[in-house]
Amino acid sequence: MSYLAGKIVLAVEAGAPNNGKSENTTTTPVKYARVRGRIHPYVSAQAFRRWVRDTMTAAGSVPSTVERVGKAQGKAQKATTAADPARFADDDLFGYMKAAAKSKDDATTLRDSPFMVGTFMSVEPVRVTEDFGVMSRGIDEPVLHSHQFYTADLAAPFLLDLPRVGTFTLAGKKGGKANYLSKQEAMKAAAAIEAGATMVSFRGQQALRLPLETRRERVALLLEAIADLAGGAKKALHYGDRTPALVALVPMAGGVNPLGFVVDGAEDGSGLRVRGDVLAQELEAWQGQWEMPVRIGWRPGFRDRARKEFDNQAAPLVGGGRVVMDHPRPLLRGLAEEIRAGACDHWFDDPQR
Amino acid sequence: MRFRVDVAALTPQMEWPDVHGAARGVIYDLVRGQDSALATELHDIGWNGTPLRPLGLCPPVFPGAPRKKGTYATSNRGMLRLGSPVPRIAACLLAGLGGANELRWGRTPLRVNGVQMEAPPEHSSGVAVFETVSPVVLKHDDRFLLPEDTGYEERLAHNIRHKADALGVASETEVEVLKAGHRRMFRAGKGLRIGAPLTVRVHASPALLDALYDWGLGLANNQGFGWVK
Repeated sequence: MSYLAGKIVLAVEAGAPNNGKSENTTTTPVKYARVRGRIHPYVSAQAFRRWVRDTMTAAGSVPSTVERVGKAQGKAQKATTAADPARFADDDLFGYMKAAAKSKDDATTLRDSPFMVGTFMSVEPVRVTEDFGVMSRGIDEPVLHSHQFYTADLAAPFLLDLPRVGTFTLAGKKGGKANYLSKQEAMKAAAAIEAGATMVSFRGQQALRLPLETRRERVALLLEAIADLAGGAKKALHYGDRTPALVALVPMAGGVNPLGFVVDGAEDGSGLRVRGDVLAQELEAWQGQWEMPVRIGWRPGFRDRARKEFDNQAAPLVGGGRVVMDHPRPLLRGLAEEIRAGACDHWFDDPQR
Repeated sequence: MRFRVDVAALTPQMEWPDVHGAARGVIYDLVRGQDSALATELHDIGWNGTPLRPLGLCPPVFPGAPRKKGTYATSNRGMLRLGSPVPRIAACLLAGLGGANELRWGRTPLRVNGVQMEAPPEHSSGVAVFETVSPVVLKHDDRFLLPEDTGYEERLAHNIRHKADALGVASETEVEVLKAGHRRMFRAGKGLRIGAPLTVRVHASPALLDALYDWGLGLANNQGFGWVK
């Protein structure tokens, strides 16, 4: 198995964790999409990735340095990280792009993100509430303002490409020319080699790969950050716990996600569905492409009726050991520990076909 | 880790004493440019409590250069190879090469056309056949040994075990000389070196085989001897 496919549900209660661009100076709208004519608020993948990155940093992971240039430097505005995946776990896991000016010879550097995540879209249509506010303390003419908030369950898929974690492909031959390293690439490769990287052939390209212990640690850090997730906007007014209310994980041989229709919203707009019968059929269809067990973390008290229904439908899967259920936090942290201990080392290489 | 550097010689020929004699200076300069403490440690003491220096290289070769008797002919299409099994040293070599436009090989300036990393061959079977480009230097009781001498294979295996100890990897090994080239003598920085190029079959752990591929066989690898093709 080489991918960890999953789905995460965040429960937002009277919150506005991700806001859109205001249309006038006194209103802060939440982000929403219109699906079949109805409003579904969402948290963008960018926002979620920022929360994970910040949670990793809060847990002690050293973040990549960010540099911003703009008008003050007489350049087009641009903000980039150090783009050094050998040194920084976040550059490795979340990827980066460091585009050089067209006129310069410097190579544009780019890293695919091994951690991919979708948009956290509300599973049911929602009527967004506009909250009106006023600042009137000790002044004759009050200042009016407003912002939006909503209550919804937001669901998004994610995929972690484990063989790519800590693996950095080198420049290939360009039009028959030798694949010489630029100065910048040579320095990056030197940093990776110093960190213990060795040369491997990765998906048809030459690559440098960090030692397995470092790669395990990075994946464990990511899972622990999702378990302890914190972040989001408007915390002073809407606080809200951002740890996943529900998380489902399945190790897959290829980059597909069989959980798409297992955790979703009902077509009649009645809210979150988690279907054990759909899971059983998906697992059957992908026989040989997934590894036991499917891990499902469900916070106690979250959507009790849906939980009861899922428990009934998934009883044969749970009884057969194909599915394990737990609270999301011990589930994710337990998997992180297993990975650290080397129990999942075979996930870090592409399967031999 | 091994690197290949494509170079162009800026003089039509290289002095013979420079071929191996200049190697140490080049390799230490590259390390010193990135980590002077490491260069000093390697030069003055050795590595990991042993007098060994885990870095090797192959002097520049210029295939197709017009041959001329008594000279080491050069051209603008040459290459040299270097490497180290120790990540910290290999990183210094690559970082040094990445920023270099020119290397001075003794009295011969070499323009650097480009640097490439070389993928290692598969050593997971625990056995490898190594063919050296440059002569393998071995000594016993202050006397240079040649492949036809008694105990040659044992001395070569002893050298490999010594290298394994310096790197902290499993040192069990067996060596069998399959083919030996002619006796060659070169002047290096610290006097004459005598040896012969070899083709050997080595049984060892994959980690040790990888290390020998990056480092070289026999003694004086940092002077360009015993480099594996």
